[in-house]
Amino acid sequence: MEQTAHFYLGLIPLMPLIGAVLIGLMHVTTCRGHRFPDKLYAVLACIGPVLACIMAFQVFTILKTLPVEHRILVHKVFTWFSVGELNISMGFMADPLSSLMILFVTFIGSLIHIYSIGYMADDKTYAKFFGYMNLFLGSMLILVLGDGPVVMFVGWEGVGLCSYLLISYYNEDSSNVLAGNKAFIVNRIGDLGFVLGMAFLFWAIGAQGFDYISLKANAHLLPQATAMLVCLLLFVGATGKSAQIPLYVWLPDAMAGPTPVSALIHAATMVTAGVYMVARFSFLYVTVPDAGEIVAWIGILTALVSAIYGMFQDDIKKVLAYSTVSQLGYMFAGVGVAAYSAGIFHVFTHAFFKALLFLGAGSVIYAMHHEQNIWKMGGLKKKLPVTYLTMLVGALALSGCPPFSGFFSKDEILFSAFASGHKAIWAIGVLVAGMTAYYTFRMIFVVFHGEPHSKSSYDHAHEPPPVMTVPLVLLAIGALLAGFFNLPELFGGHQMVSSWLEPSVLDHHAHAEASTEWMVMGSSVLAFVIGFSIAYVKFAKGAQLPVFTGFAKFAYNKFYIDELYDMLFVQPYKSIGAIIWKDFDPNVTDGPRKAISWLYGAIGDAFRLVQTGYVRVYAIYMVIGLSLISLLISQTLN
Amino acid sequence: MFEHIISSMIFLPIIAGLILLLTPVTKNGARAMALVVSVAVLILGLKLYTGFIGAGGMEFVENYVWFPSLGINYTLGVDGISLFILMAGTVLFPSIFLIFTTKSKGYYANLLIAQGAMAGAVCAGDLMLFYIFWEVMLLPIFFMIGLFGGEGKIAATLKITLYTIAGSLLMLAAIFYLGVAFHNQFGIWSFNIVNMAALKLHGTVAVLAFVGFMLAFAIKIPLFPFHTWLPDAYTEGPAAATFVLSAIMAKIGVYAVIRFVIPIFGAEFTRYALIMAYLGVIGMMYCGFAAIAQKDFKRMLAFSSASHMGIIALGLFCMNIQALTGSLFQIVAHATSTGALFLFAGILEERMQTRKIADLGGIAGRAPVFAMFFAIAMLASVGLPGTSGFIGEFLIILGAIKYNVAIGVLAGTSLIIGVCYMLWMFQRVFFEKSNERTEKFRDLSAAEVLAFLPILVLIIVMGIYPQPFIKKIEPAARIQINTILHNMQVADANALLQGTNLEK
Repeated sequence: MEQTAHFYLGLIPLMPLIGAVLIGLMHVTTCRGHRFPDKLYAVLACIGPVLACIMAFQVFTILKTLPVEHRILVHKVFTWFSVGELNISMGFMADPLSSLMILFVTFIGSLIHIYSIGYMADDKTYAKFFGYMNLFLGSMLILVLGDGPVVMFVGWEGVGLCSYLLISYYNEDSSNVLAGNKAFIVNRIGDLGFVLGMAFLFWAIGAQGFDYISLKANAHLLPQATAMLVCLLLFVGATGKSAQIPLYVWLPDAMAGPTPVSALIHAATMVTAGVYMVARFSFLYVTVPDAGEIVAWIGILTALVSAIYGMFQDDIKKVLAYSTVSQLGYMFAGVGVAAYSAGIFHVFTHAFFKALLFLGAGSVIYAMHHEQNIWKMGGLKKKLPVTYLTMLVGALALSGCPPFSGFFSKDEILFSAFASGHKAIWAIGVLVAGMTAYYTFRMIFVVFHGEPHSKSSYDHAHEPPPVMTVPLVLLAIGALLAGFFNLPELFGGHQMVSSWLEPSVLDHHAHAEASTEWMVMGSSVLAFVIGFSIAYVKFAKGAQLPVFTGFAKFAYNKFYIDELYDMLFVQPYKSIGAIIWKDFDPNVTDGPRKAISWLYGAIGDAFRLVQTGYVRVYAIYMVIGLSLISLLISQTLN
Repeated sequence: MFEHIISSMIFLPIIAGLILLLTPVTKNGARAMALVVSVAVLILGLKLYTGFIGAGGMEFVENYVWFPSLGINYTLGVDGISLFILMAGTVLFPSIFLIFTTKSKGYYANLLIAQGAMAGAVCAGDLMLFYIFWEVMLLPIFFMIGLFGGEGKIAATLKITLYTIAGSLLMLAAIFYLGVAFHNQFGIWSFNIVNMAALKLHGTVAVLAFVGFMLAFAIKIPLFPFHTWLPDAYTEGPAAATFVLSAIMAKIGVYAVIRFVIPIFGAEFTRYALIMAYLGVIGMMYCGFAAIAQKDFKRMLAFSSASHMGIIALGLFCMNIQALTGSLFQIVAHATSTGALFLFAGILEERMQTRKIADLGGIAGRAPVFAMFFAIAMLASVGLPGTSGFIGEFLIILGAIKYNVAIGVLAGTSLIIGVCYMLWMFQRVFFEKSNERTEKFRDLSAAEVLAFLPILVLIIVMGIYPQPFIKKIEPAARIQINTILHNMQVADANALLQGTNLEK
C-alpha cells in the first residue's frame, strides 16, 4: 500500500501539469486555424485536478492507516542537481501536514475549475485560461509536496508566474498588466528573502542533506543567530507570497484577473503558501521564539490594517481581497505564537469560505454583466437566491459566527495567543473580528438587500447555470462543517486536525482553565455581534454611495501606501537607470576611451599648427634645426 | 575524420566561409551551404558530446608540432569547461541560418568563419594558437557590424574595434612575456597551457601580465567598467552578429579566465578575486538598472545580457565549486535564453521596421506562438525554476553567499532587477492594445518554429533535468577549484613564513 502511495506522490503534481502542457500545446497549434471545441478543453482541464484530488484522498487514507510515528512517505524521483556538498533531489514528501494541504487544495481547486467552465464560457482564449489554471494548481502541489526547500521554491516561483499570467489575463488593458507585473515583482522581492534564507541554512547545516527530514534532524546544530536570520529571511518570502506587511500591496490589485482566478489565488493556491512554509519550518521557528514573535506581530498588524481598508472599499472583490489579507494575518499570528496547527486549521477553513465568497462574487459579477461596484448592485437576493444563501454562509464563516467553520479556527488562534501570554495580539485580534463582521455584512447587505441601485442591470440579472451553482453549494457545505473537524474538547470534540498535524508541526500547547476558554470565545462572539449589528443598522435597509472624507478617504486610498512605494522605490529605480545610461555611462565609464580619443585629436591638432604647408616656414624649421644641431655638436666637441 | 573531430569542427566552417567569399555563389546558395555545413558541424558536435567521458581531463586531444624552434604546437582538446561553450555554438548556429534570410552571401561567410574560429579558441591548448583563433573570430564580427549594421554602425564598429584590439594587444604582450619567462625558467620554448601552469611568476611584471590577460577577457565578457562598447555593438549589429557576440563570444571571455588566468596566475587571481567579484556584481546591478531606462528593445536586451554576464563573471571569483559550476552551467543557459531573445528581437525588428518599444504593443494577440516562445526565453533569462536559468543563478548565489555575504546578497538582487525591466518591456511590446504597425505582425512560420524548438527544448530540459550536464562540468570545475585552493594555501603559508621572518 505504501508503494502505491509513493507512486501517487509523484503523480499528484504531474496530473494538472500534464493537463497544462497538453492544453497549451493544443492551443498553440490550433490558435491560428480551426480550434478544438471549448467543451473538450473544459473536460481536459478538469481531469487533472480531479484525478489529483482522488489521489490526494488515497494518500491521506494510506497515511492514516500507518502508525503515527511512521506517517511520512518520501518519493525521490531523480537527482535534480548535485554539486559538491549540495545534493538536491526532485523529491516529494507526504506527511500529515502536506497530505492535509493537498487534500483541500485539490478539492477546492477542482471545484474552481468546474465553476470556471461556466464563468469563462464566452472567453475567446478559453484554452489558454485553463492551461494557466492547471499550471497554477500543479505548481501549488509541487510547493506543498516538495521534500525540501529547493523543490518548494520551484512551486513557490511557479505560483508567482501563474499569478502573473492570470492577473494580467485581460492583457489589452494596461492596468491589468501592471497589476500582474506588480504581483510578480513583489513576489520576487519576497523570493529573494527565501533564496537567501535557503543559502544561509544550507551553509549552516545543509551539507548533510537539504530536505526537511535531514534539516529537522540537524536543526539543533544551527547557531541561534543563524536560526534567527534564516527564520526572518524565510518569513520575508512568506510576506511576499502571503501578502503581509510590507509586501501585501500586490494582492488587492490581483483582482484584475478573472474572478475564479481570485478564488484560486485566495483560497487554494498561492497565498496560503507562506503560512504553510512557516508551519513546515516549525522545527526552526520553535528554536527562536523571537522570530515567532515578529511573525505574530506582523500578522496581527496586517490583519488590523487590511480590515481598516476593507471597511471602506466599494469593489466587491476588493472587500474580499482585503478580508483575505486580514485572515492571513490571523494565520500568521497563529503560527507566530507557535500554534501551528491552529494556523493551518484556519488555512483549511478559510480555503472553503473564501473560495465560496469569491465564486459567489463571481456569480454576482456574472449576473451583473461585469459590474463590480457594490453601490451599483442592491436587492439581488430575490434574483440570485442560491448565490445569496451560499454567500451568506460564507460571510457568516468569514466573520466568525458560531458554529460556522471560521469561528472555530479563528477562535483557536485567538485562544492560543491569549493562553501563551500574547494579550495584546489577542485584543487586536478580537477588534479585527468585529471589523471583519462589519465589512463582510456591509458587503452582503449592500449587494443583496435594500433596493436595486441600477434598475436595468437588476432586471437582466439571473442565477448562473448549475455548473457554477453546484460548486457554490458544495463549498457552502464545507464552510459550514469544516470547523467540526477540529472541535475543541470544550464541546466534546477531539481536535482531530490538531492531533493529525501533531507529528509534522511542533505545536506549543498552551493550557488554560475552561473559564478562560469561555471568556475568549465569548469576546469573539461579542465582537461578531457588535460588528454585525452596526452593519445591519447602517446598511440592511438600503444605503447610498457614501462620500469618503477625512480618515475614511485616507483608508479608502489604502493610506496611500502604493503611492509611497512608487515614490520610494519605483521612481528612484527608473531615475537611476536613466542617469546611468544618459549621464554616467557616456561621461564617466566611457571616459578613458573618450580621453584617449581626445588625446589623439589634441596631438594631431598640435602638429597641425606646425604643419602649415608653406615652404618658407619649413625652411625656417630647417635653419633652426641645423643651427641647433651644429650648436650641440660644437658643445660636445669642446 | 573522427580522429580529428575538433579540427573538422573548426575548419569545416572556416573553409566553407572562405569558399563562399572567393566564389560567385548566389546568396540563396550561400545560405543553403551554410545550413548544410552548420548541420554537419552539429552532427560532429553531437558525436563528440556523446563520446565525451567527463573525468576532468582533456579529451579528443590532437597534438602536432607547428613551429618547433619556438615551441608552438597545434594542440586541441576539450574538457568539461570548454565542452558546453563549444556545444552552445554548435547547437545554436543552424538556427541562425534557418531564421535569417539576408542581403548578401558575405553575411553567411562571416558567420561561418566566426563559428569555426570560436570553436578553435575554445579548444586551443596552446597560447599562440588560442591568440590566433581569438583574433580570427573577432574579424568577421567587425565586418558584420560595419557592413550590415544599423544607422550607427560605423561608430559602433569603431568602438568595439578599439576596445577589443586594445585588449588583444595587451594579451599578446602578456603571452610573449609568458613564453620568455618559460624559456628563462626551463630553458626551452613552450606556449602549451598545461606547461604554463608550472611557471613561477612573481613581482610587478607578473601582475602586469595578469592585467594584460584579464583586461582582454574583461572587455570581451564584458566586465564593468569595460562594457561601454557593448550596447552600441549589440544594438547596431545585425541580429546574427549580436547573437554570436552575446550567446557565444562573451562566454569565451569567461572561459578564457578559467582556462588561462586561474592556472597560470593563481596567486594574482586569488589576490584580486574580491575586486573582480565586486566588479561582476556591480556590473550586474549597473546594467540591470540601465536596462529599465531603455526605449529601444534591442538595447534593453543588450544591457540585460551584460547584466547577466556580470553574474556569470561573479561565479568565477567565488572560489567554490558551486559558484564555478553555476557559472559554467549558466554560460549555456544564458547562451540559449539571451541568444533566443536576440533572435526574437531580430525577427521583431525585421518585421516591424522599428526598434522602439513605444511603437509596439499587442503582439501577443496577433502572434501567440511568437509571444509564447519569447516568454519562455524571457522566463529563463529571469531565472525561473523549471528553466535552465534557475540552476546556474541559484548555484552562483549560493556560492557567493559562502564566499562573501555582502556580495551574495547583492547578487541575489538580480532576482528582482531582472523581472522589473523584462516584464515592463513585455507589457509594452506584447500586451496592451495593438496598433497599425503591430496589427500586421505575422506569427512565426513553420521553419522559424523549427529553428527555435531545439533552443526552447534545451531551456526546459536543462531546467528540469540538469544533472547530466552538471555531471560533465563538475569534474573539470573541481580541478580548477583545487588549483585555487592550493594557491590559497601556498599564499597563506608564504604569509605565515614572512610573519615569522619579521618576528625574528
